[in-house]
Amino acid sequence: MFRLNPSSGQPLYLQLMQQIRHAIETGVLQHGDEMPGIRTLAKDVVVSHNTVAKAYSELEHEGLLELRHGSGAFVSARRGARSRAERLRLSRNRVQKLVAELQSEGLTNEEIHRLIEAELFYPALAENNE
Amino acid sequence: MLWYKAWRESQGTFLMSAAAVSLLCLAFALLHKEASGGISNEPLTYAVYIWKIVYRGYLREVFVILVLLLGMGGLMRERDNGTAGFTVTLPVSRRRLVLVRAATGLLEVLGLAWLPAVLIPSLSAAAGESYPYAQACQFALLWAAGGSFIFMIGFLSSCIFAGPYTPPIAGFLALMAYSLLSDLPVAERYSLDVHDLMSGTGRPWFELSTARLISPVPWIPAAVFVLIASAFIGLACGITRKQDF
Amino acid sequence: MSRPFAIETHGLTKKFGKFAAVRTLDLGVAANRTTGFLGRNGAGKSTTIKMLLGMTHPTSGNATVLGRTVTDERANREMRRNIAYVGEDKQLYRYMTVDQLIRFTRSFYSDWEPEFHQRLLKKYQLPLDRKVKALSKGMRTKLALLLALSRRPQLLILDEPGEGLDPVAIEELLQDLVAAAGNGTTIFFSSHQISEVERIAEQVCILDEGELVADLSLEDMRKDYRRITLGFSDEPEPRRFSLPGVRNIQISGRQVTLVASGNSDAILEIVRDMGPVSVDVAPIGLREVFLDTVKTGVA
Repeated sequence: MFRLNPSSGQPLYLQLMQQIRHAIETGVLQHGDEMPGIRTLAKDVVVSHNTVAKAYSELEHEGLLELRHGSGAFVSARRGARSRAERLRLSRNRVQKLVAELQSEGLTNEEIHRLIEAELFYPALAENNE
Repeated sequence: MLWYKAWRESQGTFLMSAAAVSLLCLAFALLHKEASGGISNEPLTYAVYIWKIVYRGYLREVFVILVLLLGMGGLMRERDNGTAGFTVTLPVSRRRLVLVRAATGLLEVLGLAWLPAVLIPSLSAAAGESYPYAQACQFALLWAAGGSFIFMIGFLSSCIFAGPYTPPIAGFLALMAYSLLSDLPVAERYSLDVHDLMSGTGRPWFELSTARLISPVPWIPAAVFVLIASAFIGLACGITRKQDF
Repeated sequence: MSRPFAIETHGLTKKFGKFAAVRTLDLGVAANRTTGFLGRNGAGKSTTIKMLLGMTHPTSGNATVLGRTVTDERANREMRRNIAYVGEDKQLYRYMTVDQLIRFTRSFYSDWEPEFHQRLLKKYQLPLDRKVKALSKGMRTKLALLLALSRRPQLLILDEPGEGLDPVAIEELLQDLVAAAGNGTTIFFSSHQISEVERIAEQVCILDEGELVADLSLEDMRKDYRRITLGFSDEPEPRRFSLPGVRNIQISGRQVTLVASGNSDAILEIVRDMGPVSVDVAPIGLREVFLDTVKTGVA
């Protein structure tokens, strides 16, 4: 279910958190669902169990997971989840349009990716370089 | 299970050696008439014949070679074929590895030394002659003592040298050097020739005319060789401890 | 983080004649983590591991593994009871059958886990009555791994464990390593397969020509390491780029490529003032860090 990219420049536990969060927000994982155990998930995804533990722990902090000692981790989706899924769906359309525009201007996918990443990581710099 | 491993690794050499010794004993006993004519023009008594061909001559020389080869193997050979890493990282001391291999080999030497004592008297009877067990057993003890010394020369050589040929060749060279040195008058005085020990020659414990061991049996020279063999074991342990694998 | 160290070396050196295979190595491998050990062929990885396990005697310096001094024979032997090791020579006693070898190995360790061993036998499909000499290289490697993984050791040291394994087997191996780590085993493994290391290791030590040239946390690397590519209209002076956080500077004509191990924001601020015509920031994978580190050394 989850695929991590070790060479993407983003810590693995953050990637895992994002993917779990995405699954919860789009309704793939629903309130009350039991998450796989840390060791099980680590083995399935083939990543260090510390990574999974950290992701679960951080998500618990955010209130998205409930770690019940001894029984496992359970999804604790807040009520705003559905509307978030809606917002994500709408945003996806906008991203599709933007990407199509940039591609028609002759930018490669790699260039588009870099631009977006630069904007996300270094917004001040992107501004100054225009 | 180190004993099991030491046995498996020396099993081939030991069984072939035992087979060779057995076959030779069989041949010497059953074909004594033909062989006797071959080694001397004068007629020999059976006891003298056996002494000449088994305890002083042919079989003793074969025994020496076989026992030297029994000492081959060990960690240097394992290093050559890649398993040294596995063995040395087992949670056992290197000393224990050396001791178990040495002890296994020495037990095998004992077995080989005893074979003629078991076979010659019984096979002689089958061939219509007789050879006393008592004599054969005494020779077996001398062979065990001398054999342990020669085994340890081979064993030490296998601890020092690598490769399939260097250890046995070095062992033989060492043995030859020892043989030359022990023929010097100085050594003769102290009965330090292991070949003589194994053939039993030397006054006052050997009667040449009848080729019999008579008391007092040479316990002291025998014990000296056993002590030297033990010292060699300690030396082998020390050498192995210092090696890099 | 103040975890205890499973492995610690201080000035560990090994010389073969004049050649120093390992030079004054100061290595620290934390407990309860998975650490990768990278280096080119001949960098000294295997020699280091052999010194830790008492196979090779250090020329100078010292090391402790699981708190025990490696140069003390008895201590080293005690420590080896709690360690499982798979060496670079995947050779095993050719005359024994798979079953005999398992029983042989098992007799030395009290932490043998019959459940793990049965499961691995089935998974690796190793025929019990086949002699080791009749096994293919891949199966021999699996057998060596089985002997190590059928236990619950405190520390697992592996030297090129994936060598000779097909991709499916490598994937299984990584899963088994992750499972062992989950059981509390510290893992220290050397590998040429950077992608393997990148997936399951939390820390990576890079050895080059006998010296430790990098010791980094992979999560930090993902978070902080960046490749900054700058284009200038005039050839720039290399000296201006020796900034804190810059590990590596490469100049080719009017293009400057920096590898930053942190501080990227500050570096970009300073660099911006130099008036570059183009700026590009990209993350770096372990492969690039490795190639840059061993080729040109630390900046």
